[in-house]
Amino acid sequence: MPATLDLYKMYETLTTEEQQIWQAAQNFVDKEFMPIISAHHRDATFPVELIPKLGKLGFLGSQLPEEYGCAGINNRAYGLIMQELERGDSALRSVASVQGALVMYPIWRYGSQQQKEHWLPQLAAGEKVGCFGLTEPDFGSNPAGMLTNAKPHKDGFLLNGSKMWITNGNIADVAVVWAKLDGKVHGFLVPKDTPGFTATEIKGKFSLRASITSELSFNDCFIPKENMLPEAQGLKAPLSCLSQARYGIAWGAIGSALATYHCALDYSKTRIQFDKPIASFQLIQQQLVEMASDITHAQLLAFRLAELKDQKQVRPAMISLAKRNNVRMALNTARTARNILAANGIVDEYPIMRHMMNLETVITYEGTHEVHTLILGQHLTGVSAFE
Amino acid sequence: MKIVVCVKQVPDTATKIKVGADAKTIDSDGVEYVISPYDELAVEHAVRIKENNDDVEIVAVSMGSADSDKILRHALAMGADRGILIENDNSCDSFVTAQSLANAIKEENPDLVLCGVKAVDDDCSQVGGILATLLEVPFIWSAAELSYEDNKVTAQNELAGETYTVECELPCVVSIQKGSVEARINSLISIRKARKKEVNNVAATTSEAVMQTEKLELPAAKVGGRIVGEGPEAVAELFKLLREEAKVL
Ligand SMILES: Cc1cc2nc3c(=O)[nH]c(=O)nc-3n(C[C@H](O)[C@H](O)[C@H](O)COP(=O)(O)OP(=O)(O)OC[C@H]3O[C@@H](n4cnc5c(N)ncnc54)[C@H](O)[C@@H]3O)c2cc1C
Repeated sequence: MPATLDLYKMYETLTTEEQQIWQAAQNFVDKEFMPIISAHHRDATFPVELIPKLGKLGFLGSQLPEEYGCAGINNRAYGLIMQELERGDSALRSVASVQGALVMYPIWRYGSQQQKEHWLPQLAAGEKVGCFGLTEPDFGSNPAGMLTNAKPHKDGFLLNGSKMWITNGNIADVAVVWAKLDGKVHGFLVPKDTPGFTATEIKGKFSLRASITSELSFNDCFIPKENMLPEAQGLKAPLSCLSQARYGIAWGAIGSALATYHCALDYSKTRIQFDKPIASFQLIQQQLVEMASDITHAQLLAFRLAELKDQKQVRPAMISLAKRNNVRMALNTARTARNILAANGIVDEYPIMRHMMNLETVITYEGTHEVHTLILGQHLTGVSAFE
Repeated sequence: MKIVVCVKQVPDTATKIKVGADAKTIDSDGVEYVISPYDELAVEHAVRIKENNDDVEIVAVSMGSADSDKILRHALAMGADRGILIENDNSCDSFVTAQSLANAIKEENPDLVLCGVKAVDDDCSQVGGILATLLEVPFIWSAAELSYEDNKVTAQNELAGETYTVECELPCVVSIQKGSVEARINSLISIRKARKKEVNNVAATTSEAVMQTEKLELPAAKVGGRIVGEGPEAVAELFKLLREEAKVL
C-alpha cells in the first residue's frame, strides 16, 4: 500500500467496502499507471488504453446507478478514488472527472431515457469517451457570455461557435456542448463524426501535459433534436455538473499533496548535509509539519463534505470552499516539497514538478481560485462581486 | 468441484512494525491489515480454475480476529463464493492453526485446498503441510504455476534453477508461490457484490497452543556498510573479507 497520512484517523472510519474500493484504486494507480506516467508526461500523451481498464474497474461514473452499468457507490468511496487517481497524476483524475461528472452525469440527470440507455453503459465501460465543452476563447470565468449557439433547422438545430481548453476533445466519441438557443443555455450531444465538427489539439502545455486538451469548432453542425438534453435549461445545468467535478477535485488535490509530501519526507530522511539527514534540521521539520498540517485540514474538509453530499445537504458554497482550499493547499505543498528536494526537485525522476505544474491548471479550471473566492464572498455577504 | 482457499490477515508489508507493551505481540495501533500476498495469489488461482471450468464453488476460510472479515470480503470480491471465519483472537502456532482449519475444512469436503506458501507475518510456511497431513491428502509445496484438468492438478516450481513439474490427483493441498499469475484488481461492482455474499462465523475448535512466544524484539539496527576500494583492484580484498570476515563464501 502506498504511504498515506492519517493523523486524525479519518481513513480508519471507512467501511470495509470503502477500504476495498480505496485499495482497488491504489492498486490500479501503482501497478498500471505509475510505471508509465513519466514517459507520457514527457511525450505529452495520455495512455488511452487505460480508459477501458478504468471502465472495467468501475471508476467511470461510479456514483451513477447500477442499471446503467455503473457501481452506485457513495460519495466517500468516490472521493477516495479521485484521491488515488490524482496521486498518480491530475491528468488521470481529469479523465475520470470529465467522463463521470461532466459527461455521464449530465446525460443521467438531464438526458432522455433513450440517451441514457445509449450512452451511459458505453461510457461507464470506457468503450466510448466523452468531453465537456463550456469554456470559449473569450468566455472562461464568465460562461454566461458564451457565443456558441444553436438555431432551429429542419428536425433539429444548426450549431455554430467554438469551445476552448476542452479536456479529451481529440479522443472523445461524443461532446457535451453547451450553447445558447433563443438566448438560453442548452446542452447538446455531438458525436465526433458530425459534419462541421472539428477538434484541434492544443500543443505546448507545461501543465497537465499527460492530458489531451483541445479546441472544438462547430460550423453549421446539424444536431438532430433527439440529441438535445431535454431537461437541461439555463446555465444552472452545466454548473451542476461542475459541482460534481469540483467535489472530486477537492479529494484529488489531497492525492497530489500526499504524493509530493511523501516524496519530500522520504528524501529529507536520506539526504545528508552538514553530516546529518536534512530531516533533522528544524527548518526542514517545520516545512514538513506545515505540509502535514495542511493535508490534514484538507482531509477533514473532504471527509465532512462527503457526508454532507451523501445526506444531500451540500451547497455550492461548501464545494467552493473545499475546492479552493484543497487545491491551493496541494499547490503550496508541491512548492514546499520542491524546496526540500532543492535541485533534485526539478527533475522528472521525482513526481514533484509534474504535480506542481499540473496544479497550475487545477487551480484554474472548474472555477478559478478567484471565482471560488467570489462565490464564497457572495454567500457570506449576500452581495455579488462578479461584475 | 469445490475449492477451499485459506487466507490470513497480516500487517501490510509497508507497515513499520512496533513491538507491543507486552513484548510478545506487535503494537496494532496504526497497522494496516491486508490479505497475505501469497494467499491472495492462491485465491487468484482458484478463481481462474472457476472461470475455466463449470460448477466450481470456492470457499475462502480464515482463522483470526473478527476483522478478518475484511480479507474474506476481499477474497469474495475476487470471486470466491462464500467465506468461513474461524474466530480466534489468540495468537497460535502453525499446528493449532492447521488443526482449526482442518476441522472446518473437513466439513466442507473439498476437492482441492489452496493456501499461500507462507504468511508474510511469521514466514513459517508450515500450515499447508500440516493441513494436508491432518486431512490425510497429498501436499504440493510452493507451486509457482498451477493448472487443473480431469480431476488432477499440475504444479510447477523452480528450485535451484530447475523447473520441477508435479502432478497430483485430487483431493490434495497445494501451497502457492509467486509465479506468472498476478492477483486481479477488484472492480467496484465485484466489491459491492461481495458485501452480499455469505460469511459464516464459527468458533475455533483447537487444542492449546504448544508453542509460546517468549519475547518479540526488533532486529538490531544495521551498522553502516564499508567500501573496500574501487575497480578490479578491490576484488581480491573484497573476496578475502567475504570469506574470512563475513564467512559467506
Ligand atoms: C488544461 C485545461 C483543461 C481544461 N478543460 C476544460 C474542459 O474540459 N471543459 C471546459 O469547458 N473548460 C475547460 N478548461 C477551461 C477552464 O475551465 C477555464 O480556463 C477557466 O474557467 C478560466 O477561464 P479563462 O482561462 O478564460 O480565464 P479568465 O476567465 O479569462 O480569467 C483570467 C483571470 O481573471 C480572473 N477573473 C476573472 N473574472 C474575475 C472576476 N469577476 N473577479 C476577479 N477575478 C476574475 C480569473 O480568476 C483569472 O485569474 C480547461 C482549462 C485548462 C487549462
